Amino acid sequence: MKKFLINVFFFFSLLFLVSKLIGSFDNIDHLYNSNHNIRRIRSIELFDDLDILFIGNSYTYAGINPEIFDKYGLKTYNLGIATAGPDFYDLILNDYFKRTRTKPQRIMILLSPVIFSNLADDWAAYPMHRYLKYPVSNENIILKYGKPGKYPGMLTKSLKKGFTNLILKNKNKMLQNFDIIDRKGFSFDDTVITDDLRKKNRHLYSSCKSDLLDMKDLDKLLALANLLKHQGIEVVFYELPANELNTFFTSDYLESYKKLVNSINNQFAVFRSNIELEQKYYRDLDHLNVFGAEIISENIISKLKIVGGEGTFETKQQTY
Amino acid sequence: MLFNSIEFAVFLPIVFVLYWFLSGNNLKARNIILLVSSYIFYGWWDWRFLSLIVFSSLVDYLVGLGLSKSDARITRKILLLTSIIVNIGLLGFFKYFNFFIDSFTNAFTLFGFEFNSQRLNIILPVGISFYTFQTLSYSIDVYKRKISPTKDIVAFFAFVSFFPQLVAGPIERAANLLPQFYTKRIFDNRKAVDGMRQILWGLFKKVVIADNCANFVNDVFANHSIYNGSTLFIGVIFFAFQIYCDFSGYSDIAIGTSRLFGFNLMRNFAFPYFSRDIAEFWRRWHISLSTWFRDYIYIPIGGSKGSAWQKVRNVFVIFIISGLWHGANWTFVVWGLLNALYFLPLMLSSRNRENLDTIAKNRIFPNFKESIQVLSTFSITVLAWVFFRAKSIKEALSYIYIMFSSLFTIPKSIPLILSLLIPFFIIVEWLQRDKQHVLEFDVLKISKISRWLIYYSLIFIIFSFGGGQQEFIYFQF
Repeated sequence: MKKFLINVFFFFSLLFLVSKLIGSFDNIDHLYNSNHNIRRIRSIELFDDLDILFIGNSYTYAGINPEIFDKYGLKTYNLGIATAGPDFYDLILNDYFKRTRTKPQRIMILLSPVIFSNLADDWAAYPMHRYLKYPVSNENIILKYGKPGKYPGMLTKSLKKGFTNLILKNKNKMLQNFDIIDRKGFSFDDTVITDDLRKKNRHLYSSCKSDLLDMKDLDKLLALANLLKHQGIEVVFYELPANELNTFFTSDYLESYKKLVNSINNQFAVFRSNIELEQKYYRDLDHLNVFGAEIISENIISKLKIVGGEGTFETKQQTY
Repeated sequence: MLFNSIEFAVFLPIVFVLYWFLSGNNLKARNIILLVSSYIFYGWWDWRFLSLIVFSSLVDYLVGLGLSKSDARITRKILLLTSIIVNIGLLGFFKYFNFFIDSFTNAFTLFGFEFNSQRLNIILPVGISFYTFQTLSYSIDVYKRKISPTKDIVAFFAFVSFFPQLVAGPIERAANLLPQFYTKRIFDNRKAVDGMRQILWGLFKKVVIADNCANFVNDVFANHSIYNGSTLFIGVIFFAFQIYCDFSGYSDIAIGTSRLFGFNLMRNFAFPYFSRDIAEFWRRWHISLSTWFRDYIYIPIGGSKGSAWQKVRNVFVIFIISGLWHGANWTFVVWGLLNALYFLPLMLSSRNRENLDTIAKNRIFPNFKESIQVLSTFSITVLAWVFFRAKSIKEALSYIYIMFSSLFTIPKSIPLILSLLIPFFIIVEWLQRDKQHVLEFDVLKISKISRWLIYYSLIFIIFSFGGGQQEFIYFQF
């Protein structure tokens, strides 16, 4: 038994150490990795002194077009990151403030049923914490945000990426996807949804039916919003049209979500887009395409009381 | 709790430590630890399921005690019938109630009768098909006086719920597993290390091969009408690998885990895709279920004895029941019927026991005849898998029609990982086909460094190329 336990101990210790060592090379590709999420995060410094900073997930980078805001003289940046939820928001904003000199006048934070679901804050699939200017280790992410069950997945992702970076050394893939910077974070996509596209990603949401909304996420969001408010930044929450998204959740979940939004609305302005968009404005089950993004961006601007760079949301605790 | 989950990775070492270190070498304490752990393992899905397994265990324990006290034929028959009715009744209710209701309704509607049926919202308890067969075999064996009934309630309950094989087998016989609960277990380093190796190989099969195939297969079967024949052909071949690696992977992990606790479970798979005919395939595929049906149904109804008509009837009975055991759907019945049709010519010409030993024994390559035999057996098995995987007979027929009508076309791209790993998998399985499992090797012939490198490589592949956690297919049965 002693021999067995010693062997098992050494085997797994060595495995862990080697994994950590190789995994530490997971982000050495930060300069040339063409993933649009990484490019968006790595380009933060270029977008200092903003009128509006948009925070959110893929709905944001697909549905808010800063070029439309440019037309009205509003300086904006779309910092939507795939699968982002309350924890991602916190991490990304911390990094943003460390890297820019002037705070944005206002920060608009996405609200959606999906950001409170088990699909949100997927550190393993999108290890953005490793690509920040000041990378955060997997261990620190777990210590700060919890969810230790995600640790093996994160470790594996780091190991795989570190291994690929060391072996392939794909440094010749220089600076692709830089139109993301030209477009200020907006992901241009003019695809119009088809029946095949509608079918294609349905399975991704199968786990949503068993989701339970955790009200702790509300506390996290409010704490973050209050922190920003104390720094003199106007915080506005917003929702975006998301086609068939709600059909994947139970009515109980959606009811809880509604209550959560109302709680937020007691303290902060919530921009609710009540526009019913036709299918041609979506690129898939739940994302807007460039045409939908144009309508929604214009809609947000129209809600601003004054346009021309000085626009502000007149009163807080207001629903738009 | 899934074997391929973080929960199990925490659960297993805890149970291992409690079992070997805190039980004070006391057999009863070890059995209690196993029993409690098994109930935690099972209750992890849904604690309400526990009542069923406790009830089923209690009935068969009492039936066993009753049989030990009675010599009267009628009493013994009543006791056995009680066990059969309770176990089959539970299985029938939870697994087949809605299926039979739907089938009756459809049959009545077909003949023009209006029949209002009420479906029930029944959740199928995980593993019910496995543990009911296990407890049932105990009662039948005690009734037939093949084994002595046990009075040790902890040992019996632990035997029924033994967590490594509880939810997807191997379906153990009381004669093999129950006595191991009475015997003092001493830690055996070689056995434990071999168990770890078998777990590793099982995880590789499940997480890498089966789960990656699943991603491709799910897409192809869900959208089969928009793909061409060659894609569907590859889809069903991948399904053949998916189901084999999923189920035999589970069995490997179950057997390996048992060995860590000093138990020996029966073999469940013996490289079935290297079979030279369908009879050999069925001797190598899901062995614990095939032998269960053979011993408790096929032989009692006459087996291969009697007239040709009786032989044919018995083969159809056994394969249709086997099909239905897998699921409450007519697709499984057709799958069973097809296998019966494959098997019949061999049995009627008395060639069903021709290939009993390992293929190409003491040779590296098979000869031409063997290669053709293996390929043709694999092909007809794959065709039957279409029915096994499809949601309805209509879908299966449509799949087969499209597959053959545009077979010679360019398929959709195959994930690189599968194109590399499936050939690798076939080669290593072939090279180790005379072993109990692929990672069974003579430690004296391979240095420790080489062995560890093999293990690390497999772990790296598992973590890097795993297809995402998916439930084991056989849980639904």
